[in-house]
Amino acid sequence: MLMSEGMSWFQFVLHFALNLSALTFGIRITSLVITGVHSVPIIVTIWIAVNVLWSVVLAHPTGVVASSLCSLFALMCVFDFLRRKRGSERTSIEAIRCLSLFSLGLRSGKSISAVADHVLKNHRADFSNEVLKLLEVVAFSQQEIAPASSLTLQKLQKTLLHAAKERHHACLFLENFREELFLLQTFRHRSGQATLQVRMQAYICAALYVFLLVLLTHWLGWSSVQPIFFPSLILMLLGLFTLSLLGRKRKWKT
Amino acid sequence: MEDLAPPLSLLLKVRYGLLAGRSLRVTLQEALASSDDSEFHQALRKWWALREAGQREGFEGLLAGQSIYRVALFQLLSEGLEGVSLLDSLKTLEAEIRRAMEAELGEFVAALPLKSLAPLILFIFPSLMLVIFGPLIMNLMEAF
Repeated sequence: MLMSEGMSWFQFVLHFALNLSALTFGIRITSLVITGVHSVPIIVTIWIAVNVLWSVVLAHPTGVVASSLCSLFALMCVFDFLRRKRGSERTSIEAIRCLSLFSLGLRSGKSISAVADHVLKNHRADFSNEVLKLLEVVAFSQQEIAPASSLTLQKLQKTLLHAAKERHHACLFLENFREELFLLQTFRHRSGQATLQVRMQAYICAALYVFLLVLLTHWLGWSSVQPIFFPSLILMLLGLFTLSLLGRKRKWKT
Repeated sequence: MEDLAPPLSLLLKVRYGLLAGRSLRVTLQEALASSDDSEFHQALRKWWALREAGQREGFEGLLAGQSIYRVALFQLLSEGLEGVSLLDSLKTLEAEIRRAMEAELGEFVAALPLKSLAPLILFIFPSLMLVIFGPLIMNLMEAF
C-alpha cells in the first residue's frame, strides 16, 4: 500500500524517526518552557496539524499517516513505561520527604494532625494528589480513604494512620519507616547504576543495528538484505534478551 | 534488586514491632500475614507451624541451604519466643545483614561488565558483522 503510493520503506522509517524525535523534543522543550501537563495536548495538536500539512505536501497521505500513528504509538509506550518507572521512584522520595516533615513536626511538640495540616498548607506543591489526599485524611480523621495505588503509599498510609492512633510511639513508627525507605532507595540506586551501563549497551546496539539495516536497504535494496535479515535479527534479539536478563531483578542470597 | 533482602525485611518488622511495644508473637503473626510466596517466607511459615505444633525436630531440615544470616535470624527468633531479650541482638544482626547485602551488591556490580561481554560477543557482534559484511560476502560469492 505504501509502495503503491510512492513512499519507500526508507522514507517510511525516516518519517517515523523524524516524527518520534520531533514529538519527544517538542514535548520536552514545551514542558520546560510552559511547565505543566497541558503542554502535551498542545504539542500533539501542533504535531497532528504539521502531519496533515506534510501528507498534503508529500502527496502520499497513507504512508505519512501510518508512520505518524506508529511514532505516536511508540512514544506513548515509551512515556507510559517511563511514567510507571519514575512514578515509583517519585513516590518513594515523596514518602521520605513526608515522613521527615512529620518527624520534625512531632519532635517539635505538634500533634500528628497539626503536622498534617501544616504540610497541607505550606508544602502542597511538594506532593502528588494521592499523598495530599492521604494527608487530608490524617489532618481531618473523620474522612474515609480508599487503598493507595502503590505499595509504598499503602505502607505510608498504614504507618501514618497507625501513628495517629498510637501517639506515644508515633515518632518511632515514622522514623523507622523512613529509615527502611532510605535503605531501600540506597540499594535500588546502587543496583540501578550498575544495570544502567548494560541497558545503555543494549539500546546503542539496537539503534546501530536498525540504522545499518535501514541504510543497507536504502543502498542495496530489500532483495539483497533479505537473506541476512532474519539470521541477524534472531541473533540481535537473542543478544538483547540475554542483556536484559542480566539487568533484571534478582534474588538476594543474603 | 528491587527490594530488601527477606531476612532484613523481617528483622526490621520484628524490631519495629518490639520497639512499638508489641509482643514478638504478635509481630511475627503480622509478618506472616503479609508474607509472600518466596522461599524464605515459605520456610518461615513452616517454622512457625512446627513451633505452634510444639515440634522441635524439623528445624534443621528447614534451614538447610539457607544463608547464615537467615539461620541466625531463625535462631534469634526461637530464643526470643522462649523469653530471651532480643533487641540488642537484632540490632547487631541487622548491621551484619546490611554489610552482607552491600558486599553482595558489590560483587554483582563488579561481575556485571564481564557477564555482559558474553551476549555482546556471542550474539550482538556477529549480528552486526552479518549486517555489515553479509551483502558484501554474498556479492563476492556470486562474482566467483
